[in-house]
Amino acid sequence: MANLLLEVENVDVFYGVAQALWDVSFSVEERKITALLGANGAGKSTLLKTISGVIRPAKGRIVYAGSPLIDCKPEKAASLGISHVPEGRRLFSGLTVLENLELGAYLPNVRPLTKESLERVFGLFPVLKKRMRQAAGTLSGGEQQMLAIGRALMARPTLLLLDEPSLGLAPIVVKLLFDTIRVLNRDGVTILLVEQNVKKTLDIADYVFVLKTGVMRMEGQPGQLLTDREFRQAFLGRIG
Amino acid sequence: MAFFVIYPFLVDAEKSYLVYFLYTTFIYVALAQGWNLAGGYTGQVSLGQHAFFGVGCYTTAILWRARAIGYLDPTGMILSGICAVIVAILVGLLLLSKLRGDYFALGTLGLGEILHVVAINGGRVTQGPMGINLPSDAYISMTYYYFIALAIAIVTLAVVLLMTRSSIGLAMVAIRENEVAAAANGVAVLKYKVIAFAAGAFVTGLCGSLYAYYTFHIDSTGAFDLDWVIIPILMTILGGAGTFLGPIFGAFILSGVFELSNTLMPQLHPIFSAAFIVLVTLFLPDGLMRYITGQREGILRRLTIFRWIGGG
Amino acid sequence: MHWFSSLTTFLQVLVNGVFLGCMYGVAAIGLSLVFGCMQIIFIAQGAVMILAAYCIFWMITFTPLSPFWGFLLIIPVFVGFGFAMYTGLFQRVAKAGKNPSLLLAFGLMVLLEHLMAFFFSSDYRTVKTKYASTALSLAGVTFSVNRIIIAVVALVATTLVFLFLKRTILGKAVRAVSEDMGAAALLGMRPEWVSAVTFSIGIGLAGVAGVATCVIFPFDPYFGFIFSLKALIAVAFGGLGSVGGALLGGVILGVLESMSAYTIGGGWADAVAYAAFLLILVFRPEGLLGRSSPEKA
Repeated sequence: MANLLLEVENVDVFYGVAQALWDVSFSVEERKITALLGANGAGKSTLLKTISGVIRPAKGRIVYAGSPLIDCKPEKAASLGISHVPEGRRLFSGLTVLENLELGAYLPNVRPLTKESLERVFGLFPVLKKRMRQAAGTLSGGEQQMLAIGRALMARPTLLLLDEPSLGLAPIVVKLLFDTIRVLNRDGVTILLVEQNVKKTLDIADYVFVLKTGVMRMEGQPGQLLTDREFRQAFLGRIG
Repeated sequence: MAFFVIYPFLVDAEKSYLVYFLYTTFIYVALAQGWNLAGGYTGQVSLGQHAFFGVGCYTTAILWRARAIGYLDPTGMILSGICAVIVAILVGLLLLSKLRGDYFALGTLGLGEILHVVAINGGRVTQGPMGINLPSDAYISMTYYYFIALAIAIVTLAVVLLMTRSSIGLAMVAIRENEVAAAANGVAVLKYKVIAFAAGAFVTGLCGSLYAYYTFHIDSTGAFDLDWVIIPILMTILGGAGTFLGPIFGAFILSGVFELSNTLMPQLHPIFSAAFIVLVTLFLPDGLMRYITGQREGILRRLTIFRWIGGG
Repeated sequence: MHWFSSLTTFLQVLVNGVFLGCMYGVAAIGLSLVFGCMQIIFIAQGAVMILAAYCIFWMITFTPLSPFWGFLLIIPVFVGFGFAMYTGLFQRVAKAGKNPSLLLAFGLMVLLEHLMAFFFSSDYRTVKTKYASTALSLAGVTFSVNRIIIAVVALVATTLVFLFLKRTILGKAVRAVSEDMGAAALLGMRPEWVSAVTFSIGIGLAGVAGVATCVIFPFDPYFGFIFSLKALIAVAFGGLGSVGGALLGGVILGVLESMSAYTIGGGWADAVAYAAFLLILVFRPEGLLGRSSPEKA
């Protein structure tokens, strides 16, 4: 039985009085790429936010590396090794590329390694080194996404949460993005990927979960799902 | 309600402390609700109410001195209110169309201060810093003031009630919650902001007018005193901004605290009042009404969850 | 209207305005920082300044120290005071939105003012320094030594804050939290701690501004509010989110006031300042150097 880095158990999440997630359970295997698919508004981002501590579940629990996360604030989740690249990237547009990256290594346990981490990130994304002193807001969409991921990497995370990284990016950049995700995974980072780009996700994922209007509908390996009728009906139009 | 109407006839209005207390509180209720319209319901915090109060004061004072209106003249008071509204509309259109949130608040503050300075330097019209003196021999009885204040308060409450229960009220709350979404849904954002702002200005102007009649002397410091801004806002927030009962409770409670501390420890009165304000904002940040209804909601929520867990 | 009798007079008025502006500027930087990080207008900034002024007053009354030592002593005291204020008071209301924070600041201001009035009496106080009557002269323009020292302090304070924000990781965290608190938290920054630091610096700066004020003006407990207002106007001129902007805004305000006071008289000088304030808000809300968007309110 492979090691489960993250276990989400029977989680309910509310936005005020509106319920967003109903009894959601799933798990993420260590060192694998797990994907979360679903239509807009299905609750994928909400689920990621619950894991990283931005939202507190009304019911259920989240177990990370064997211990449950109770009343976990985002700062705490980050210090435990969970790095969340949120939808919309949320870069500090007024700060430079370098400063954004430096802040990625803010946590005291990774700050001494900033220099090495920077080299690693620049190695993955050379364009960031070129634009090191530019304000983050002046970068192109693809570069910003790279910066967002690079910033998350500076914290040397164990679990990387990616929220729709390919959104709004040109196909060539998307290819580079997914190649990078593969590389990261090979280096040992566990990845939970939320995406709308179904084809590329199925290519890369080791295991897939499907969320539909706040409920976990399906799960399986990419190959299995492609033969599943319901899955094809829901997502066939989206492939390609 | 009946109590308020009957009481002044039961006691000697001139000497009764309670009559005076109620008189000031009624005015505060009106001022607080006036601010509540723009600040609480529509989410446009204005720090410039003293501008409207001062305009009301001076309009009445100038007109009365010129013998254009009489003592406690309803026409005069309404005119004062209208002048305040005109200022509100002009300034409102300018500021509300361009500024959001804090910037708008600052803009209104600036407006108030500008009018304050204009009043000081207004030469013959405003009699400069010494202010305008009005014939105090026109004074008849405290009862009149009491009932006029009560009337103003009632009118204000009626206006607020009507506005908030109508489609205007819906628009106001929509604007407060999410302005962009409201605009996208076809709400004429600027129009409703100005309406709320102007309505509050009218009421504030009325109060200013009454103040002029009460004190028989208007000067720039008294008319444009920042207290006229701050205290109603405090009362509204204490009671609960954006609620109907909130400003009423807030006005009575805070007014009571002020008077009590003034009576019991006149030396320390401002310290005590300020400490009270600090404590309230610390422990009841959403206001009294929200706390009370929140308790109710909290209990309801808990009951719902019990039902749920029971149902599986 | 009273026009300038000569170039020298003009320069003198200008120079006085610049020095006055430096004081506004230091207070404004604090205000700008606090607003950027916590989204509240800390209306009590002026009252804190006056508190510092009183501290200096009592310091020179009971000790032989020159008031200028006050600059060094006040900073740690007030930074600590600011930290206590934030963790004790503002942190609790931070979640409840902006109105309560604004109110709390206001309540604090009134409380401070009245406490000072109660304990220190409402009389005007002045602080004298050894250099009170010394001045330098350059091309017919007098530079009082007092004011030169204050201008230097203002520049040093601004530079230090700027370096802190630009070069240290904590400073960068302050900027990050100002821009996007949520994203900062996801990277492990603790918004409460960062806000506390920011607030403390803001209070420390208010303390410095207070020391500067007491050396130049006579003051009483209620002086603070006007200063808060002026600091606010300075921030509006210079733009939110810019340290240099706050200082520049202060200087502009100082010069504007100085010029207006000379040409059209003290009463209208205030009106000019407020009118300029409104104009800036309406036509260029982000100020001259600012980056913050007015939509962010």
